[in-house]
Amino acid sequence: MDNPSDESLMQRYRLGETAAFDALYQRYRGPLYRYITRQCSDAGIVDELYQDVWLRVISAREQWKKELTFRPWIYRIAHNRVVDHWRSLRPVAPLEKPDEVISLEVSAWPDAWVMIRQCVERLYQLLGGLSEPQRSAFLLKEEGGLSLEQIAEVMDTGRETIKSRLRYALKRLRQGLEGCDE
Amino acid sequence: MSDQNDIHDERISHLYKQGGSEQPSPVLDSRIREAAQQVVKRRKRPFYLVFSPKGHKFRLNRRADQLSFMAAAAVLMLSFGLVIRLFEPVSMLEPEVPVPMLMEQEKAGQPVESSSAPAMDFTGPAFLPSAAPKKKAAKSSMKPRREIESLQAERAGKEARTLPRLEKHMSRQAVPAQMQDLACDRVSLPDSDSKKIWLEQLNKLKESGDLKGYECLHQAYLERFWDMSK
Repeated sequence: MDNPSDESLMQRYRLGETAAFDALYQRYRGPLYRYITRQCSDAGIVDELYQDVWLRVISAREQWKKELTFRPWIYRIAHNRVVDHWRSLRPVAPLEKPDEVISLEVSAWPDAWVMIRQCVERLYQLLGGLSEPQRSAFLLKEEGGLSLEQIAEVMDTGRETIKSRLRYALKRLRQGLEGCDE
Repeated sequence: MSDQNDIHDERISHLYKQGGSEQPSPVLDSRIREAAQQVVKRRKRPFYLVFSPKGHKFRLNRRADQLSFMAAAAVLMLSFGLVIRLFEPVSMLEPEVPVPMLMEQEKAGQPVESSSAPAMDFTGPAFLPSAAPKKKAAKSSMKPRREIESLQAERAGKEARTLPRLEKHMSRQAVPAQMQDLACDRVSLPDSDSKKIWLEQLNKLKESGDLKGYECLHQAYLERFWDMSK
């Protein structure tokens, strides 16, 4: 089964093959959309930021170099766009209504499922309560699948700093998720 | 190992993945894909006409507009440079140091013309905006003229010195040729196309000991039967 790398797809798109872009888009549309969704509560802004990220990818295709790794590159664009958005909304505030991040109709579900959904809901609430660098580091790891080095590159900081942020974020999440062990 | 546990919690990771699977709307998808396709199409057609609905007419695309503007700017710059060059003062157009060709022409009594503009008289009133620059130009042209005269005098003196020597050398070279001509005049060439008669005549001269005459006849023989002896 032919499974071209992200980098080769981007290179092909750079040379004018739109099908390569479609394949690349299909790979990243979900994770990238969720990465932005977890950072902003307003669906309208999420759509705007998401579209903006892809338009930047499209316009930057001429400058694309083979040596780059696509995954950290696109998450860097997304991260910078989200940070720019927060900066434009000074003072920086955590998610105002974390309950609205997801709305669940839990009444018809089995007890175990309800339990899981409640834990997930609590996790999202806790994520909204983390500081922006901690949340970004956690989302880049969990949603983006990036390594420590790649996260450090995206966030323009050192590897040890990212480790410290992740450690602190997980500590907060563990504390908040007590009772969700089973 | 504990370091890895500090930054990764399988339970939280699993819980996170259990969460929502939000996706962008199909409208958003198609909008982004369309933008990606349009960029590629635009790149393939750098110059094309676009329909302007406001004015109900076709016009060039943005890139072509930019290029035409740049071309117009370049033409304007070149024209400006040409005009500046035409109205430059004469002293700048005339050569400071006379070239040998100019000296030759002046010596022969021909009018001296500038090599940069051979068919135009830049000292004419049409090319000089006022009298002041003209005077200035005349003053500046005095200096090269004086230099020409001094160089001409120097050259004439050199020629006067070298000419007698050359004539002497030439006359010395000419003497043997004259002598050779006198020796050959004595020899009568056979009035025949027969090689045999010519060879007989050559033998006679050789036997008589007239080597000069023999050489002359031999030379004439070779010239006469040159292609035949090949």
